[in-house]
Amino acid sequence: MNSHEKLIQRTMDLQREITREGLTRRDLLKMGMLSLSSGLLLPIPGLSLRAARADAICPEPGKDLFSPPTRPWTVELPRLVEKQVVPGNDPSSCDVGYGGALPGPGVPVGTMTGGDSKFRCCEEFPELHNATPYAELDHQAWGKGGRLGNFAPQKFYEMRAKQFNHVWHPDLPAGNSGQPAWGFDSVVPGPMFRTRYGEPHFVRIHNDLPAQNLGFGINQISTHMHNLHSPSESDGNPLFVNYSGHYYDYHYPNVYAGVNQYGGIGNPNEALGTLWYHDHKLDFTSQNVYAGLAGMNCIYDAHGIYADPNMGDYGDETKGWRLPCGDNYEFDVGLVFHDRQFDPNGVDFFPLTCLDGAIGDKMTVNGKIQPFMPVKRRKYRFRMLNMGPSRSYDWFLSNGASFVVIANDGNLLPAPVVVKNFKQTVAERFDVIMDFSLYPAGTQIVLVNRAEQKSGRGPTGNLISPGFQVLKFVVTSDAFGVDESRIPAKLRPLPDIKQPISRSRSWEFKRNGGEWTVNGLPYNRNVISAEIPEGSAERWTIINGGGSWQHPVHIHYEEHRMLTYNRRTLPPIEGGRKDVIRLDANATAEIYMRFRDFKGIYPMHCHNVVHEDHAMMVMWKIV
Amino acid sequence: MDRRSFLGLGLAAPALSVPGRSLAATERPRSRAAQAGYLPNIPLLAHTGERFRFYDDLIRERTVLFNFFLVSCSEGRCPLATAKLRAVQDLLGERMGRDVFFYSISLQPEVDTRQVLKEYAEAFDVKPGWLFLTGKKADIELLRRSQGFVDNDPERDKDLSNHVGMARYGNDRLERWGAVSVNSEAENIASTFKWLTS
Repeated sequence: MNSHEKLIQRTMDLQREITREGLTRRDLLKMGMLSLSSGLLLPIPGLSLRAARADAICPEPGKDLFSPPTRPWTVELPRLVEKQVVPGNDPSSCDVGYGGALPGPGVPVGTMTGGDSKFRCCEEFPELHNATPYAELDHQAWGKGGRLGNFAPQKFYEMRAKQFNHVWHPDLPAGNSGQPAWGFDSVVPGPMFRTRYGEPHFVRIHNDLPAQNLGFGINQISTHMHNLHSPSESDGNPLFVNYSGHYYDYHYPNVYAGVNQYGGIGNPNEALGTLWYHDHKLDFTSQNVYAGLAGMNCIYDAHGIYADPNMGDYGDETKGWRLPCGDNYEFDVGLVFHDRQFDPNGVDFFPLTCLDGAIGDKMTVNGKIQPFMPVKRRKYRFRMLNMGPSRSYDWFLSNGASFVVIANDGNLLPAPVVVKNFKQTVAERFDVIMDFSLYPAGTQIVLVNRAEQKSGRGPTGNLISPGFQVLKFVVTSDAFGVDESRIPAKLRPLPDIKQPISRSRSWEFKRNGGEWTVNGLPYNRNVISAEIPEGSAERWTIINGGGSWQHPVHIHYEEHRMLTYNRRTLPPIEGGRKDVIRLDANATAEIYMRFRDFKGIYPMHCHNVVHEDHAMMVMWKIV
Repeated sequence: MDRRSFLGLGLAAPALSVPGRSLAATERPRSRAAQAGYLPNIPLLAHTGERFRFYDDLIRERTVLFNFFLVSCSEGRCPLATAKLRAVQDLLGERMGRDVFFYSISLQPEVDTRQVLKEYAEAFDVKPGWLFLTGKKADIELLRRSQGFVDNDPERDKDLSNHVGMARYGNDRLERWGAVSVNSEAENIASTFKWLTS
């Protein structure tokens, strides 16, 4: 036993002795402190193991910290930029980037080269390619043959992560010149991808971020596609780093879950719809997402995937379920909600060391504070995303109207659900239909958040009145042609969950000794917490282990079905396929999970991204 | 040990040499994290007897890892953490003290005097590049709060052993700050330094 092993031994012995003697802290306090270096009690009376109550460095917005005033409804809601394929959809027009061996003629896109950050990442962390051979990192599902290896991309995209100036609101002291932000293609949020099942796509993401950050953030990224059925190497795993000066090639096969089971491109009843992509760099996710590295992606059904012509979400309001869309997606609108805090000088504020989470007193939609949106007198489909980092909403409409909710976490429900209000925590998506033909031109309707939340811990559970106004719809008399969209009585059927469960696991999310832990342990990159055979089904119990924190738990890859929440069955709005569990204080959720098709590592983590960055994550593997 | 030496450290401390780095000539301003109050420039006394200013002498322009601990930690948490960081120190090899520095700051400075820390460091056979630090209670409380190692439950917050699980790591020059659990594996902790260099 060496000297420090002896010391540990002595510490533990002392601890046992204290326990055996039934000594309390009060006794120790009377006796004085233990000096573990000498093994003796120090004759220091009156000293306590306890410190005085200290306030956290988590300012409460609107109480400890005020952003400068900004006038609401002075800025029009920007539409998310529609992402376009590379010129001619020609993969050879993709920029080969900077470093490493250039892919010359004969080295097509999809062949990993030195410019691809996966190489550097595997050099720095050899365990990554020890666990997953280069050949598989170079895309499991592309050019590999077999049922799952042959989904060559049909659409090619390129995107750049950059620093640029962004105007959150022109009333801020920075005015129209804005202040530095990080984002994809120099916009916050990043562009909207419109993708389709049966049309695999490819995205080369260049990392052009500078070494000098915004006071927070890191110029190393990993872009997670939340929650596509993607092979592990294209999932945007926290461990797969896209270094500045490199690019990272993502391949999305755009297959429904169940390729191995159903053949073809899988089971269309497993379709996703509204997804988002965001940075997922280990330890830095909250900082980088707050910097602006997030955007949306929606995916439509493969043409004619359902034999029934009245089924399907095709991005065409004359076909299938005829959900609102219009030409050029005019009426299929992404709304990204994100709260921010500015200091009294209007400079971006991020609570760098607040472990509870980060909330702000300014509500932005698509990158603008309290914007307005002119709407035409017809139906719209809104894809609402809570980008976080830590705020949870309870949405109402100012005129008391209801929402027609058609999808939760992007997945269409079996039937629309009409509700007066609904809760939305971090990373959740809700698709709603709003019909403005019910109102005369000039009508103003405000989207209001009434959830009270004073810190990153989560909402208090109280409803505030009248609530915080976030987005104003202004009904116009502008022409729109004919509204051919419908609110169908039925939507996508839920796939059965009859496959027998091969194993049950439970996962407890808890704060422990100042750390955020899962099953008592902080995240460790060298640990795989579960190895799950491909094709199996499991029952997972997700437990909030106490304290008053909400943990929005996100499980990558295939979405789950919640069986019970606090041993109760679920309201219809929560009864579909989901990828985020809004795990309120002391709650327990039982879920049914399947692990089909691709193999590799995927994480489960708290999507209060501050908790995630402080180790509330586990990695599991499909084998 | 004389009780007085534990109290009023600033008053009773012997006149020691002050080999802190002189950064008077540094041209770069303090990092934004320092200006925002996350890295308060509190005076500290190291187990080596040297006196430092936390930000100017120990953090500024450096790549560092720092954690909080106390010698009389419950459940052996702190010695285990120290042993873990000692293993990380070995993994970092020659980088320690050259471009990576460790600081372990006592949450119980009134007990963990310089002499206690010196014994503690010797017990762990701590190598250069790692300082154990004590100071004024109020200063160290400020530093702990500034790092967010605070429990919202006042009762749990009083238990100092609840604040020893995470270590802050970062590079002040690049203004990159993350956190890692000291209960993780040594290799896992050491790997965080791979993303602090460029």
